[in-house]
Amino acid sequence: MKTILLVEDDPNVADGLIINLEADGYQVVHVDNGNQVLNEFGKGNFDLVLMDIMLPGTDGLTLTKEIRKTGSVIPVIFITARDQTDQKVEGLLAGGDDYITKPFDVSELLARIQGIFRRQAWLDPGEETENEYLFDGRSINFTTYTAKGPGGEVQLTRKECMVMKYLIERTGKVVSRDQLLDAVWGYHTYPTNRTIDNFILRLRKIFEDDPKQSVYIETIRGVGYRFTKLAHDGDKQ
Amino acid sequence: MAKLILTSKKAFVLFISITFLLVAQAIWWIALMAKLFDEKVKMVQELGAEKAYIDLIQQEEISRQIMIGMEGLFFLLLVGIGAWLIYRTLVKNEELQYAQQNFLMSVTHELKTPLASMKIYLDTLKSDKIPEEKKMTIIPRLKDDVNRLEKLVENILEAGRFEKSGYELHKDYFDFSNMINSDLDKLKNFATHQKLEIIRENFPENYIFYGDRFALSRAFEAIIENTLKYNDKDNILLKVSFKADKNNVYISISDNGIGLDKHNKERIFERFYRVGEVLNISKPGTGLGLFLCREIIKAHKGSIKVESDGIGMGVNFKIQLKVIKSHENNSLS
Repeated sequence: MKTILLVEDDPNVADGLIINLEADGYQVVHVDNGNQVLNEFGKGNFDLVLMDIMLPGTDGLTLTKEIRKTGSVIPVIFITARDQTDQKVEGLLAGGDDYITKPFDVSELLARIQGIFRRQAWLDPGEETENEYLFDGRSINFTTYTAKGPGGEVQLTRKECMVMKYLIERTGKVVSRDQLLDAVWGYHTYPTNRTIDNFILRLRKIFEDDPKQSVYIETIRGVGYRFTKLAHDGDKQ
Repeated sequence: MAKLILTSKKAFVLFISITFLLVAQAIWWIALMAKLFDEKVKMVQELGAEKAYIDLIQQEEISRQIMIGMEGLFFLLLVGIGAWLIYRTLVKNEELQYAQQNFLMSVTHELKTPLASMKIYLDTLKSDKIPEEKKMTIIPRLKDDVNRLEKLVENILEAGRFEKSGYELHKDYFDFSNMINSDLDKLKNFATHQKLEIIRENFPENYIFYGDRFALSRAFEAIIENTLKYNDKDNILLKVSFKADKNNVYISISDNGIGLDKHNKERIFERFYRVGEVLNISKPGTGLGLFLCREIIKAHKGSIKVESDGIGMGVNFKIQLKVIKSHENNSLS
Protein backbone atom coordinates (compact mmCIF):
# COMPACT_ATOMS: atom_id res chain seq x y z
CA MET A 1 0.00 0.00 0.00
CA LYS A 2 1.37 3.41 -0.94
CA THR A 3 1.66 6.02 1.77
CA ILE A 4 0.92 9.69 1.15
CA LEU A 5 2.05 12.55 3.36
CA LEU A 6 -0.73 15.14 3.30
CA VAL A 7 0.35 18.65 4.32
CA GLU A 8 -2.81 20.77 4.62
CA ASP A 9 -3.77 23.24 7.34
CA ASP A 10 -7.49 23.45 6.62
CA PRO A 11 -9.20 20.69 8.64
CA ASN A 12 -12.16 20.35 6.26
CA VAL A 13 -10.05 20.07 3.10
CA ALA A 14 -7.75 17.61 4.87
CA ASP A 15 -10.61 15.42 6.13
CA GLY A 16 -12.25 15.34 2.71
CA LEU A 17 -8.98 14.35 1.07
CA ILE A 18 -8.20 11.69 3.68
CA ILE A 19 -11.63 10.06 3.16
CA ASN A 20 -11.11 9.91 -0.61
CA LEU A 21 -7.46 8.88 -0.60
CA GLU A 22 -8.11 6.07 1.88
CA ALA A 23 -11.09 4.93 -0.19
CA ASP A 24 -8.73 4.78 -3.18
CA GLY A 25 -6.39 2.47 -1.29
CA TYR A 26 -3.74 4.84 0.01
CA GLN A 27 -2.50 5.18 3.54
CA VAL A 28 -2.47 8.84 4.60
CA VAL A 29 -0.40 10.65 7.21
CA HIS A 30 -1.69 14.19 7.81
CA VAL A 31 0.32 17.18 9.06
CA ASP A 32 -1.35 20.59 9.51
CA ASN A 33 1.63 22.75 10.42
CA GLY A 34 4.63 23.57 8.24
CA ASN A 35 7.00 23.31 11.19
CA GLN A 36 6.21 19.61 11.72
CA VAL A 37 6.57 18.48 8.11
CA LEU A 38 10.30 17.78 7.92
CA ASN A 39 10.22 15.90 11.20
CA GLU A 40 7.32 13.75 9.99
CA PHE A 41 8.93 13.31 6.58
CA GLY A 42 12.11 12.01 8.23
CA LYS A 43 10.13 9.46 10.25
CA GLY A 44 8.06 7.87 7.53
CA ASN A 45 8.67 6.03 4.32
CA PHE A 46 6.41 8.00 2.04
CA ASP A 47 5.65 7.47 -1.63
CA LEU A 48 4.21 10.90 -2.39
CA VAL A 49 3.63 14.29 -0.74
CA LEU A 50 0.50 16.40 -1.23
CA MET A 51 1.64 19.85 -0.19
CA ASP A 52 -0.36 23.00 0.50
CA ILE A 53 1.67 26.21 0.07
CA MET A 54 0.16 28.75 2.47
CA LEU A 55 0.74 27.10 5.82
CA PRO A 56 1.26 28.04 9.42
CA GLY A 57 4.96 27.88 10.18
CA THR A 58 7.20 27.08 7.21
CA ASP A 59 5.49 27.47 3.81
CA GLY A 60 5.11 24.63 1.32
CA LEU A 61 7.60 26.04 -1.21
CA THR A 62 10.39 26.24 1.37
CA LEU A 63 9.49 22.78 2.67
CA THR A 64 9.74 21.26 -0.81
CA LYS A 65 13.14 22.89 -1.34
CA GLU A 66 14.25 21.47 2.01
CA ILE A 67 13.00 18.00 1.05
CA ARG A 68 14.93 18.21 -2.24
CA LYS A 69 18.07 19.32 -0.37
CA THR A 70 18.04 16.03 1.51
CA GLY A 71 18.48 14.32 -1.89
CA SER A 72 14.93 12.93 -1.83
CA VAL A 73 13.22 12.56 -5.20
CA ILE A 74 9.80 11.78 -3.72
CA PRO A 75 6.99 13.13 -5.95
CA VAL A 76 5.47 16.34 -4.57
CA ILE A 77 2.10 17.61 -5.77
CA PHE A 78 1.16 21.13 -4.70
CA ILE A 79 -2.49 21.62 -3.76
CA THR A 80 -3.00 25.34 -3.40
CA ALA A 81 -5.25 28.33 -3.97
CA ARG A 82 -2.40 30.18 -5.71
CA ASP A 83 -3.44 29.95 -9.35
CA GLN A 84 -1.29 32.50 -11.19
CA THR A 85 1.10 31.22 -13.85
CA ASP A 86 4.16 32.67 -12.13
CA GLN A 87 3.07 31.02 -8.90
CA LYS A 88 2.79 27.67 -10.66
CA VAL A 89 6.25 28.11 -12.18
CA GLU A 90 7.58 29.03 -8.74
CA GLY A 91 6.13 25.80 -7.35
CA LEU A 92 7.55 23.62 -10.08
CA LEU A 93 10.96 25.29 -9.82
CA ALA A 94 10.92 24.70 -6.07
CA GLY A 95 10.91 20.99 -6.85
CA GLY A 96 7.22 20.18 -7.24
CA ASP A 97 6.24 17.48 -9.72
CA ASP A 98 2.72 18.69 -10.27
CA TYR A 99 0.50 21.60 -9.29
CA ILE A 100 -3.24 21.49 -8.78
CA THR A 101 -5.23 24.59 -7.86
CA LYS A 102 -8.09 24.75 -5.39
CA PRO A 103 -10.93 24.12 -5.88
CA PHE A 104 -10.31 20.89 -7.82
CA ASP A 105 -12.19 17.68 -8.61
CA VAL A 106 -11.19 14.77 -6.42
CA SER A 107 -11.17 12.53 -9.49
CA GLU A 108 -8.62 14.85 -11.14
CA LEU A 109 -6.34 14.75 -8.11
CA LEU A 110 -6.59 10.96 -7.90
CA ALA A 111 -5.83 10.70 -11.63
CA ARG A 112 -2.77 12.92 -11.24
CA ILE A 113 -1.52 10.83 -8.33
CA GLN A 114 -1.99 7.66 -10.38
CA GLY A 115 -0.25 9.34 -13.31
CA ILE A 116 2.77 10.15 -11.18
CA PHE A 117 2.99 6.58 -9.88
CA ARG A 118 2.60 5.24 -13.42
CA ARG A 119 5.38 7.43 -14.79
CA GLN A 120 7.54 6.51 -11.84
CA ALA A 121 7.01 2.83 -12.58
CA TRP A 122 7.97 3.48 -16.22
CA LEU A 123 11.14 5.28 -15.17
CA ASP A 124 12.16 2.67 -12.64
CA PRO A 125 10.40 -0.68 -13.10
CA GLY A 126 12.13 -1.92 -9.94
CA GLU A 127 13.66 -4.95 -11.60
CA GLU A 128 16.62 -6.69 -10.08
CA THR A 129 18.82 -5.75 -13.04
CA GLU A 130 20.75 -2.50 -13.05
CA ASN A 131 18.61 0.16 -14.70
CA GLU A 132 21.48 1.94 -16.42
CA TYR A 133 22.10 3.18 -19.96
CA LEU A 134 25.65 3.56 -21.28
CA PHE A 135 26.69 5.45 -24.41
CA ASP A 136 30.08 6.72 -25.61
CA GLY A 137 31.64 6.66 -22.16
CA ARG A 138 28.63 8.42 -20.67
CA SER A 139 25.99 6.86 -18.46
CA ILE A 140 22.65 7.50 -16.84
CA ASN A 141 21.17 5.45 -14.02
CA PHE A 142 17.37 5.55 -13.84
CA THR A 143 17.28 4.02 -10.36
CA THR A 144 19.75 6.25 -8.58
CA TYR A 145 19.10 9.29 -10.84
CA THR A 146 22.83 9.73 -11.38
CA ALA A 147 24.53 10.62 -14.65
CA LYS A 148 28.13 10.55 -15.79
CA GLY A 149 29.41 12.84 -18.52
CA PRO A 150 32.67 14.51 -19.54
CA GLY A 151 32.46 16.71 -16.43
CA GLY A 152 32.07 13.81 -14.00
CA GLU A 153 29.14 12.39 -12.05
CA VAL A 154 26.06 14.50 -11.32
CA GLN A 155 22.76 13.98 -9.54
CA LEU A 156 19.71 14.41 -11.78
CA THR A 157 16.15 15.29 -10.84
CA ARG A 158 13.44 12.75 -11.64
CA LYS A 159 12.10 14.96 -14.42
CA GLU A 160 15.54 15.20 -16.05
CA CYS A 161 15.83 11.42 -15.86
CA MET A 162 12.40 11.05 -17.42
CA VAL A 163 13.23 13.42 -20.28
CA MET A 164 16.40 11.43 -21.00
CA LYS A 165 14.64 8.09 -20.76
CA TYR A 166 11.91 9.22 -23.17
CA LEU A 167 14.50 10.47 -25.67
CA ILE A 168 16.68 7.36 -25.30
CA GLU A 169 13.70 5.03 -25.83
CA ARG A 170 13.21 6.84 -29.15
CA THR A 171 16.85 7.01 -30.22
CA GLY A 172 17.17 8.44 -33.72
CA LYS A 173 13.56 9.61 -33.79
CA VAL A 174 12.34 13.19 -33.47
CA VAL A 175 10.36 13.86 -30.29
CA SER A 176 8.16 16.95 -30.04
CA ARG A 177 8.03 19.17 -26.96
CA ASP A 178 4.36 18.29 -26.51
CA GLN A 179 5.19 14.58 -26.51
CA LEU A 180 7.80 15.19 -23.83
CA LEU A 181 5.40 17.28 -21.74
CA ASP A 182 2.75 14.61 -22.00
CA ALA A 183 5.12 11.81 -21.06
CA VAL A 184 7.05 13.55 -18.31
CA TRP A 185 4.50 15.96 -16.80
CA GLY A 186 1.47 14.03 -17.89
CA TYR A 187 -0.63 16.96 -18.99
CA HIS A 188 -0.55 19.93 -21.35
CA THR A 189 -1.26 22.69 -18.89
CA TYR A 190 2.33 23.18 -17.85
CA PRO A 191 3.01 26.94 -18.13
CA THR A 192 5.10 26.77 -21.31
CA ASN A 193 6.62 24.01 -23.35
CA ARG A 194 9.72 26.21 -23.66
CA THR A 195 10.44 25.07 -20.11
CA ILE A 196 11.50 21.79 -21.70
CA ASP A 197 14.31 23.74 -23.35
CA ASN A 198 15.75 24.53 -19.92
CA PHE A 199 15.85 20.85 -19.06
CA ILE A 200 17.55 20.09 -22.37
CA LEU A 201 20.13 22.83 -21.72
CA ARG A 202 21.08 21.26 -18.41
CA LEU A 203 21.19 17.75 -19.87
CA ARG A 204 23.48 18.97 -22.66
CA LYS A 205 25.81 20.51 -20.08
CA ILE A 206 26.06 17.07 -18.50
CA PHE A 207 26.43 14.87 -21.56
CA GLU A 208 27.91 17.01 -24.34
CA ASP A 209 31.61 17.86 -24.78
CA ASP A 210 30.51 21.26 -26.05
CA PRO A 211 26.88 22.10 -25.14
CA LYS A 212 26.76 24.68 -27.97
CA GLN A 213 27.76 22.05 -30.55
CA SER A 214 25.31 19.40 -29.46
CA VAL A 215 26.00 15.87 -30.73
CA TYR A 216 23.74 13.64 -28.62
CA ILE A 217 20.68 15.81 -28.02
CA GLU A 218 19.95 17.65 -31.26
CA THR A 219 17.40 20.42 -31.62
CA ILE A 220 15.10 19.88 -34.58
CA ARG A 221 14.00 23.40 -35.37
CA GLY A 222 10.28 23.97 -34.96
CA VAL A 223 9.62 20.42 -33.82
CA GLY A 224 11.57 19.26 -30.80
CA TYR A 225 14.57 17.07 -30.09
CA ARG A 226 16.33 13.90 -31.21
CA PHE A 227 18.68 11.71 -29.23
CA THR A 228 21.52 10.14 -31.22
CA LYS A 229 24.31 7.92 -30.02
CA LEU A 230 27.58 7.59 -31.89
CA ALA A 231 29.13 4.28 -30.79
CA HIS A 232 27.08 1.10 -30.81
CA ASP A 233 29.33 -1.34 -28.98
CA GLY A 234 28.95 -1.92 -25.29
CA ASP A 235 25.62 -0.14 -24.98
CA LYS A 236 23.10 -1.71 -22.72
CA GLN A 237 19.98 -0.81 -20.89
CA MET B 1 8.86 48.65 4.82
CA ALA B 2 7.20 46.63 2.15
CA LYS B 3 9.10 45.62 -0.95
CA LEU B 4 8.96 48.39 -3.55
CA ILE B 5 6.75 47.72 -6.51
CA LEU B 6 7.45 49.10 -9.96
CA THR B 7 5.10 52.10 -9.99
CA SER B 8 6.32 53.24 -6.59
CA LYS B 9 9.92 52.76 -7.63
CA LYS B 10 9.36 55.27 -10.44
CA ALA B 11 7.68 57.69 -8.02
CA PHE B 12 10.55 57.36 -5.54
CA VAL B 13 13.19 57.95 -8.25
CA LEU B 14 11.30 61.00 -9.52
CA PHE B 15 10.88 62.33 -6.00
CA ILE B 16 14.58 61.91 -5.12
CA SER B 17 15.65 63.48 -8.46
CA ILE B 18 13.44 66.55 -8.02
CA THR B 19 14.46 67.04 -4.40
CA PHE B 20 18.12 66.70 -5.35
CA LEU B 21 17.68 69.19 -8.20
CA LEU B 22 15.99 71.77 -5.95
CA VAL B 23 18.62 71.49 -3.22
CA ALA B 24 21.46 71.60 -5.77
CA GLN B 25 19.93 74.70 -7.38
CA ALA B 26 19.59 76.41 -4.00
CA ILE B 27 23.25 75.66 -3.17
CA TRP B 28 24.35 76.87 -6.59
CA TRP B 29 22.33 80.03 -6.15
CA ILE B 30 23.92 80.78 -2.73
CA ALA B 31 27.41 80.10 -4.14
CA LEU B 32 26.69 82.42 -7.06
CA MET B 33 25.51 85.19 -4.71
CA ALA B 34 28.69 84.90 -2.61
CA LYS B 35 30.78 85.11 -5.76
CA LEU B 36 28.92 88.21 -7.02
CA PHE B 37 29.43 89.83 -3.63
CA ASP B 38 33.18 89.22 -3.76
CA GLU B 39 33.37 90.50 -7.34
CA LYS B 40 31.46 93.68 -6.58
CA VAL B 41 33.69 94.56 -3.59
CA LYS B 42 36.78 93.70 -5.66
CA MET B 43 35.62 95.89 -8.53
CA VAL B 44 35.02 98.87 -6.24
CA GLN B 45 38.48 98.34 -4.71
CA GLU B 46 40.07 98.17 -8.16
CA LEU B 47 38.41 101.44 -9.19
CA GLY B 48 40.33 103.04 -6.30
CA ALA B 49 37.31 104.12 -4.30
CA GLU B 50 37.61 105.67 -0.89
CA LYS B 51 37.83 103.20 2.03
CA ALA B 52 34.68 104.64 3.57
CA TYR B 53 32.81 104.03 0.31
CA ILE B 54 34.18 100.50 0.08
CA ASP B 55 33.06 99.85 3.69
CA LEU B 56 29.62 101.22 2.86
CA ILE B 57 29.35 98.98 -0.17
CA GLN B 58 30.52 96.05 1.92
CA GLN B 59 27.91 96.77 4.62
CA GLU B 60 25.17 97.11 2.03
CA GLU B 61 26.22 93.85 0.38
CA ILE B 62 26.35 92.01 3.69
CA SER B 63 22.78 93.16 4.57
CA ARG B 64 21.63 92.14 1.10
CA GLN B 65 23.38 88.80 1.47
CA ILE B 66 21.71 88.17 4.83
CA MET B 67 18.32 89.03 3.39
CA ILE B 68 18.81 86.87 0.32
CA GLY B 69 20.37 84.13 2.45
CA MET B 70 17.31 84.11 4.73
CA GLU B 71 15.06 83.94 1.70
CA GLY B 72 17.16 81.05 0.45
CA LEU B 73 16.94 79.26 3.79
CA PHE B 74 13.17 79.81 3.87
CA PHE B 75 12.98 78.36 0.37
CA LEU B 76 15.05 75.34 1.46
CA LEU B 77 12.84 74.88 4.50
CA LEU B 78 9.74 74.88 2.30
CA VAL B 79 11.38 72.41 -0.06
CA GLY B 80 12.33 70.25 2.95
CA ILE B 81 8.80 70.25 4.38
CA GLY B 82 7.33 69.55 0.94
CA ALA B 83 9.80 66.73 0.36
CA TRP B 84 9.06 65.18 3.73
CA LEU B 85 5.30 65.35 3.12
CA ILE B 86 5.65 63.80 -0.33
CA TYR B 87 7.93 61.10 1.07
CA ARG B 88 5.42 60.28 3.81
CA THR B 89 2.61 60.04 1.25
CA LEU B 90 4.68 57.80 -0.99
CA VAL B 91 5.55 55.45 1.89
CA LYS B 92 1.91 55.34 3.00
CA ASN B 93 0.82 54.63 -0.55
CA GLU B 94 3.45 51.92 -0.79
CA GLU B 95 2.28 50.26 2.41
CA LEU B 96 -1.34 50.42 1.28
CA GLN B 97 -0.50 48.83 -2.07
CA TYR B 98 1.42 46.07 -0.30
CA ALA B 99 -1.48 45.52 2.11
CA GLN B 100 -3.91 45.39 -0.83
CA GLN B 101 -1.77 42.78 -2.57
CA ASN B 102 -1.74 40.74 0.61
CA PHE B 103 -5.48 41.23 0.92
CA LEU B 104 -5.99 39.86 -2.57
CA MET B 105 -3.86 36.82 -1.78
CA SER B 106 -5.62 36.30 1.54
CA VAL B 107 -9.07 36.62 -0.02
CA THR B 108 -8.11 34.21 -2.79
CA HIS B 109 -7.02 31.75 -0.15
CA GLU B 110 -10.03 32.36 2.08
CA LEU B 111 -12.51 32.05 -0.80
CA LYS B 112 -10.93 29.06 -2.45
CA THR B 113 -10.29 26.98 0.65
CA PRO B 114 -13.95 26.51 1.67
CA LEU B 115 -14.85 26.15 -2.02
CA ALA B 116 -12.22 23.42 -2.38
CA SER B 117 -13.50 21.72 0.74
CA MET B 118 -17.11 21.90 -0.50
CA LYS B 119 -16.15 20.50 -3.88
CA ILE B 120 -14.24 17.65 -2.25
CA TYR B 121 -17.20 16.87 0.03
CA LEU B 122 -19.68 16.97 -2.85
CA ASP B 123 -17.43 14.61 -4.84
CA THR B 124 -17.29 12.42 -1.75
CA LEU B 125 -21.07 12.34 -1.48
CA LYS B 126 -21.27 11.27 -5.13
CA SER B 127 -18.63 8.57 -4.74
CA ASP B 128 -19.62 4.89 -4.63
CA LYS B 129 -16.46 3.99 -2.76
CA ILE B 130 -17.31 5.91 0.40
CA PRO B 131 -19.53 4.19 3.01
CA GLU B 132 -22.85 5.87 3.84
CA GLU B 133 -22.03 6.44 7.53
CA LYS B 134 -18.91 8.37 6.52
CA LYS B 135 -20.95 10.47 4.12
CA MET B 136 -23.29 11.46 6.96
CA THR B 137 -20.40 13.07 8.86
CA ILE B 138 -19.81 15.36 5.91
CA ILE B 139 -23.05 17.37 6.03
CA PRO B 140 -22.18 19.50 9.12
CA ARG B 141 -18.77 20.20 7.64
CA LEU B 142 -20.33 21.36 4.39
CA LYS B 143 -22.50 23.73 6.40
CA ASP B 144 -19.42 24.96 8.22
CA ASP B 145 -17.82 25.79 4.84
CA VAL B 146 -20.93 27.67 3.70
CA ASN B 147 -20.84 29.69 6.94
CA ARG B 148 -17.18 30.54 6.40
CA LEU B 149 -17.89 31.76 2.90
CA GLU B 150 -20.92 33.72 4.04
CA LYS B 151 -18.90 35.49 6.72
CA LEU B 152 -16.11 36.35 4.32
CA VAL B 153 -18.51 37.77 1.74
CA GLU B 154 -20.26 39.77 4.47
CA ASN B 155 -16.98 41.25 5.65
CA ILE B 156 -15.93 42.25 2.14
CA LEU B 157 -19.30 43.78 1.35
CA GLU B 158 -19.35 45.58 4.68
CA ALA B 159 -15.89 47.05 4.06
CA GLY B 160 -17.03 48.14 0.60
CA ARG B 161 -20.17 49.78 1.97
CA PHE B 162 -18.13 51.49 4.65
CA GLU B 163 -15.71 52.87 2.05
CA LYS B 164 -18.62 54.32 0.08
CA SER B 165 -20.75 55.94 2.74
CA GLY B 166 -19.29 55.35 6.20
CA TYR B 167 -20.89 53.09 8.74
CA GLU B 168 -24.64 53.44 8.87
CA LEU B 169 -25.90 52.46 12.31
CA HIS B 170 -29.37 51.21 13.16
CA LYS B 171 -29.55 52.08 16.83
CA ASP B 172 -31.98 50.83 19.40
CA TYR B 173 -31.99 49.66 23.01
CA PHE B 174 -30.67 46.14 23.47
CA ASP B 175 -29.28 43.87 26.17
CA PHE B 176 -25.52 44.33 26.00
CA SER B 177 -24.74 41.43 28.38
CA ASN B 178 -26.85 39.12 26.29
CA MET B 179 -25.01 40.20 23.11
CA ILE B 180 -21.54 39.50 24.58
CA ASN B 181 -22.75 36.19 26.01
CA SER B 182 -24.11 35.04 22.67
CA ASP B 183 -20.86 36.10 20.95
CA LEU B 184 -18.93 34.05 23.49
CA ASP B 185 -21.27 31.11 22.96
CA LYS B 186 -20.46 31.15 19.25
CA LEU B 187 -16.89 30.19 20.21
CA LYS B 188 -18.17 26.64 20.60
CA ASN B 189 -18.48 26.57 16.81
CA PHE B 190 -14.72 26.81 16.46
CA ALA B 191 -13.70 23.24 15.89
CA THR B 192 -10.56 23.21 17.97
CA HIS B 193 -8.61 20.66 19.93
CA GLN B 194 -7.74 23.34 22.50
CA LYS B 195 -9.49 23.72 25.84
CA LEU B 196 -11.21 27.03 26.35
CA GLU B 197 -11.82 28.73 29.68
CA ILE B 198 -13.83 31.94 29.69
CA ILE B 199 -13.80 34.15 32.77
CA ARG B 200 -16.53 36.77 32.94
CA GLU B 201 -15.65 39.54 35.36
CA ASN B 202 -18.24 41.96 36.80
CA PHE B 203 -20.79 40.93 34.23
CA PRO B 204 -24.27 42.25 35.03
CA GLU B 205 -27.27 39.97 34.44
CA ASN B 206 -28.44 42.47 31.92
CA TYR B 207 -27.31 45.89 30.84
CA ILE B 208 -29.37 47.88 28.37
CA PHE B 209 -27.34 49.85 25.84
CA TYR B 210 -28.43 52.14 23.03
CA GLY B 211 -26.60 51.29 19.82
CA ASP B 212 -26.49 49.00 16.78
CA ARG B 213 -26.63 45.50 18.23
CA PHE B 214 -25.78 43.76 14.98
CA ALA B 215 -22.75 45.96 14.31
CA LEU B 216 -21.44 45.81 17.87
CA SER B 217 -21.89 42.07 17.97
CA ARG B 218 -19.83 41.82 14.78
CA ALA B 219 -17.14 44.01 16.36
CA PHE B 220 -16.90 41.89 19.51
CA GLU B 221 -16.97 38.70 17.51
CA ALA B 222 -13.97 39.95 15.51
CA ILE B 223 -11.99 40.62 18.70
CA ILE B 224 -12.92 37.31 20.32
CA GLU B 225 -12.12 35.39 17.14
CA ASN B 226 -8.74 37.09 16.92
CA THR B 227 -7.84 36.22 20.48
CA LEU B 228 -8.71 32.60 19.76
CA LYS B 229 -7.01 32.39 16.38
CA TYR B 230 -3.73 33.70 17.69
CA ASN B 231 -3.45 31.35 20.62
CA ASP B 232 -1.48 28.12 20.28
CA LYS B 233 -1.74 27.06 23.93
CA ASP B 234 -3.54 23.84 24.83
CA ASN B 235 -5.55 25.76 27.42
CA ILE B 236 -6.90 29.01 26.10
CA LEU B 237 -7.80 31.52 28.77
CA LEU B 238 -10.14 34.35 27.81
CA LYS B 239 -11.06 37.00 30.33
CA VAL B 240 -13.88 39.43 29.58
CA SER B 241 -14.44 42.25 32.06
CA PHE B 242 -17.25 44.74 32.15
CA LYS B 243 -17.50 48.13 33.80
CA ALA B 244 -19.98 50.94 33.28
CA ASP B 245 -20.52 54.40 34.66
CA LYS B 246 -23.00 57.09 33.81
CA ASN B 247 -21.23 58.12 30.60
CA ASN B 248 -19.29 55.10 29.38
CA VAL B 249 -19.15 51.34 29.11
CA TYR B 250 -15.71 49.75 29.38
CA ILE B 251 -15.01 46.24 28.14
CA SER B 252 -11.68 44.53 28.45
CA ILE B 253 -10.93 41.29 26.59
CA SER B 254 -7.61 39.67 27.46
CA ASP B 255 -6.06 36.31 26.63
CA ASN B 256 -2.99 34.16 27.14
CA GLY B 257 -2.25 34.00 23.40
CA ILE B 258 0.82 34.68 21.28
CA GLY B 259 0.79 38.45 21.98
CA LEU B 260 1.91 41.28 19.75
CA ASP B 261 5.14 43.18 19.23
CA LYS B 262 5.17 46.98 19.19
CA HIS B 263 5.05 47.28 15.38
CA ASN B 264 2.03 45.01 14.96
CA LYS B 265 0.29 46.53 17.98
CA GLU B 266 0.20 49.86 16.18
CA ARG B 267 -1.08 48.42 12.94
CA ILE B 268 -3.58 45.64 13.60
CA PHE B 269 -6.60 47.94 13.19
CA GLU B 270 -5.49 49.08 9.74
CA ARG B 271 -7.50 47.90 6.77
CA PHE B 272 -6.07 44.75 5.10
CA TYR B 273 -3.29 44.55 7.67
CA ARG B 274 -2.32 41.07 8.80
CA VAL B 275 0.42 39.98 11.14
CA GLY B 276 3.19 38.06 9.37
CA GLU B 277 4.09 37.27 5.77
CA VAL B 278 1.14 36.16 3.69
CA LEU B 279 2.66 32.76 2.79
CA ASN B 280 3.12 31.94 6.44
CA ILE B 281 0.02 33.50 7.86
CA SER B 282 -1.05 30.76 10.14
CA LYS B 283 -4.71 31.62 10.51
CA PRO B 284 -7.50 32.38 8.12
CA GLY B 285 -8.49 36.00 7.71
CA THR B 286 -8.48 38.97 5.36
CA GLY B 287 -7.29 41.87 7.51
CA LEU B 288 -10.80 43.35 7.58
CA GLY B 289 -12.23 42.07 10.88
CA LEU B 290 -10.40 44.35 13.32
CA PHE B 291 -10.55 47.26 10.88
CA LEU B 292 -14.35 47.02 10.76
CA CYS B 293 -14.41 46.51 14.52
CA ARG B 294 -12.60 49.80 15.11
CA GLU B 295 -14.85 51.64 12.65
CA ILE B 296 -18.00 50.28 14.33
CA ILE B 297 -16.74 51.33 17.75
CA LYS B 298 -15.73 54.76 16.41
CA ALA B 299 -19.22 55.13 14.93
CA HIS B 300 -20.53 54.57 18.47
CA LYS B 301 -18.31 57.44 19.63
CA GLY B 302 -16.08 54.94 21.37
CA SER B 303 -12.48 53.87 21.21
CA ILE B 304 -10.47 50.67 21.09
CA LYS B 305 -6.84 49.99 21.83
CA VAL B 306 -4.76 46.89 22.26
CA GLU B 307 -2.12 46.30 24.88
CA SER B 308 0.49 43.57 24.90
CA ASP B 309 3.76 43.12 26.75
CA GLY B 310 5.20 41.46 23.66
CA ILE B 311 5.37 38.11 21.91
CA GLY B 312 4.11 35.27 24.07
CA MET B 313 2.54 37.63 26.59
CA GLY B 314 -1.08 37.65 25.40
CA VAL B 315 -3.13 40.69 24.42
CA ASN B 316 -5.65 42.92 26.11
CA PHE B 317 -8.24 44.74 24.01
CA LYS B 318 -9.69 47.74 25.81
CA ILE B 319 -12.93 49.13 24.49
CA GLN B 320 -14.79 52.19 25.61
CA LEU B 321 -18.29 53.00 24.36
CA LYS B 322 -20.12 56.22 25.03
CA VAL B 323 -23.54 55.95 26.65
CA ILE B 324 -25.67 58.15 24.42
CA LYS B 325 -29.02 57.31 25.99
CA SER B 326 -28.94 55.71 29.40
CA HIS B 327 -31.60 53.25 30.47
CA GLU B 328 -33.29 53.42 33.85
CA ASN B 329 -33.05 49.65 34.45
CA ASN B 330 -29.24 49.66 34.40
CA SER B 331 -27.50 49.26 37.73
CA LEU B 332 -24.02 50.73 37.51
CA SER B 333 -21.04 48.84 38.81
